[in-house]
Amino acid sequence: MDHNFIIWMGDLNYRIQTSVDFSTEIIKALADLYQFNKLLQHDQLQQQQKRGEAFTHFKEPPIDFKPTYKFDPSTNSWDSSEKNRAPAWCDRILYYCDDMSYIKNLSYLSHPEMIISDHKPVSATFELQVKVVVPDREKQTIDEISFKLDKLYNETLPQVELNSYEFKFEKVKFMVERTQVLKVRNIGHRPVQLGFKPTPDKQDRISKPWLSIRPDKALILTSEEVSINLTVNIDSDHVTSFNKRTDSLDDILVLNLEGGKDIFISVSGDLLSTCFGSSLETLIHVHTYVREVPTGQLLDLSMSSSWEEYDSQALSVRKAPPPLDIPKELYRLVQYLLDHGLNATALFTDGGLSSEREKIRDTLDTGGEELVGSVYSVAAVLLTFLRSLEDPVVPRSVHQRCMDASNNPTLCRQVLLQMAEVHRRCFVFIVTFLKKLLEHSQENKMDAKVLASIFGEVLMNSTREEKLSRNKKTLSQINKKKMTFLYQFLANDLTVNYK
Amino acid sequence: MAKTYDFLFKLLLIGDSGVGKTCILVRFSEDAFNSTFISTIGIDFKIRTVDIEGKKIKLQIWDTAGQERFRTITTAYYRGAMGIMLVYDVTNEKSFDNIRNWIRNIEENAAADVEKMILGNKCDLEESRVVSRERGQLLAEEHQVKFMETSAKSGQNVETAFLNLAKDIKNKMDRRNPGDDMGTSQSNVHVTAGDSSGSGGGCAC
Ligand SMILES: Nc1nc2c(ncn2[C@@H]2O[C@H](COP(=O)(O)OP(=O)(O)O)[C@@H](O)[C@H]2O)c(=O)[nH]1
Ligand SMILES: [Mg+2]
Repeated sequence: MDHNFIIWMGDLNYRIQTSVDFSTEIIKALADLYQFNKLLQHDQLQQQQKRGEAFTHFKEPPIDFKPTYKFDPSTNSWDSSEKNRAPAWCDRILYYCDDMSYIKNLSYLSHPEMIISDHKPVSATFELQVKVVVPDREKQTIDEISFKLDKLYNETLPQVELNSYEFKFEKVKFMVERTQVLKVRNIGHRPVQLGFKPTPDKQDRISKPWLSIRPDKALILTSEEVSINLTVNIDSDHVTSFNKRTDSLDDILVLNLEGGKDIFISVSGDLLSTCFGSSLETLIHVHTYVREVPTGQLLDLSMSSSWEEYDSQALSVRKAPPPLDIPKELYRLVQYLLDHGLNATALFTDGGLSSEREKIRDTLDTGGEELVGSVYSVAAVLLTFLRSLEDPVVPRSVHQRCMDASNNPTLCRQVLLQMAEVHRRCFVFIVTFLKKLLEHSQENKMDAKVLASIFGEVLMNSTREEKLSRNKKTLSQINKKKMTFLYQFLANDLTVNYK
Repeated sequence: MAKTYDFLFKLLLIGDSGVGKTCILVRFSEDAFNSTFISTIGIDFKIRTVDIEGKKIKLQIWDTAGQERFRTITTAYYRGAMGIMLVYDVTNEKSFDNIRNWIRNIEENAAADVEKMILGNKCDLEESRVVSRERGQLLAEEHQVKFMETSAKSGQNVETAFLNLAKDIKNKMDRRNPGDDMGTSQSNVHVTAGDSSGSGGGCAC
């Protein structure tokens, strides 16, 4: 029951049970003699309470007054009407409390002096103990409860355990994918939805472009674990910014637990120095092998002693050896193909094997004696080398002029004159190589158009931004012109004086 | 379910790594202290609801990684904060000197009117103290913010500090929306009246 105390009062209409032996007259006589105990034995309410049929848990103060019903109105005499009702305690006061010690009866009376009704009123007085609010104690209690609730809430916030907060990718090689596994275990009390947040320092990406996260969202049930692959792959698109030191192998990932905290995961490491993504200007100054020059310092080499500067300062300032005619890496690749690949069909479309390509790239960077692998793998590495150059063999500054000149062999030759020395040398070197291949077209089935199309694209590679910003149609027109430009050199004798 | 609070305040704890930010938060939200140092690597939060002038105010307190390498990322979280606790360690001179940098960080990244407070923590370590109370006080005056020395270990001033900061935020809010004052006093009466009848019945079950 919702109530602390219940007082039940009124004309409950219980009677004194009459019978053959217990007539109305006997009841009246006993009542007048104050023999209440004898009468109460026949009281219907007390009988039903005893049998548990009504008001079971209620108590009634002891009755020490005459039955309160039925009197002739305006008198104190029992009913004298024809019906001759037996007297009864119809009017009652019952009480209840969970703990009966909190309620004490002080009086239970009837009031015979009231004569207007055929009933006599009854009254009772009680003393109750009631709870009252003590403001200070109340505040303290509320504070305690809210503190506990908050604590409970804090405990149900998502909680995870990571296998590591830091991932180090050491000695990463160009174009060689490396993966480490981030394991996230749910150690909280409810499922966790996790995801990675974009950060402003990464132009609202969730990771640097050379780092991929798979999956980047997951639902982890309690006590379960997910594995997330963190994969680093520094390919032609990104390697230049590493060489130029505008990027480094560092990233901080923000792992968010939905409705809860963010965790920072640090990714660090280093990229082994590589000739890929470097510039022709730099590479002709590297007499040893690129791997021996720390990443980022390649740049200094080219800046401190450019071709012209070298001529004037060589004797006084630094006794740097004269630059190479063309990068030795380019020379090695082409020489290998001249030695072994002149008759191979599909030389540049086969692609070779990725394991071989990796070894060949390594050999170029570390100065290993021999290039090991099929001519197809070597040819593919050559294309990668050319495509990843910071500035392609045909420098971007003259691309437009090349395209404008593409229909006119004489104009094409003039553009060649406008190219910086090392670029011109490399261009002529490659054209000579391609012409050599064409001399063997009987065996290798290649023709000038196909070669011009393959090499036009890599020798005059557009930047990623350029590729993204132009529509398909424009791009194919551009490629067509680049191809035509190169084709002029393969079909005509335009380079003869530059060899 | 009815909303269990009247206002939600977002607070931020910043300061060098190791000054006791996480411990201060744990003291305030769990009334506990742990002396092993586990560096916070990210942004974590806990909540605690407090009563200020009859209003239930839910404090959502963000604890940040203090390490330098996370600086650029953590500052992105300043934006939503209504109050910031700048914490240094009274036994670590460097952490005190860095408060100036942290304040500059706030000026550059947080809302212009964010409420601030400087806490000199670990004041229980009297024997290894290197930053006097007076210097802390002076720095705070220079930047016109409140100052308090705390100990997450003993609990000294931790609760008071948060209540003070929350009160300052609430006062500012009341000044901004004077209409709310009425609401506050009315509900005060209401709460008192409700106490005897409402909670009397509720508590007896
Ligand atoms: N004696 C003392 N030690 C403290 C107090 N607060 C924190 N510490 C200790 O200082 C270390 C760093 O505390 P922590 O809260 O993790 O620093 P945070 O990097 O700022 O979060 C821990 O070993 C704590 O036990 C303090 O009030 N008194
Ligand atoms: Mg911490």
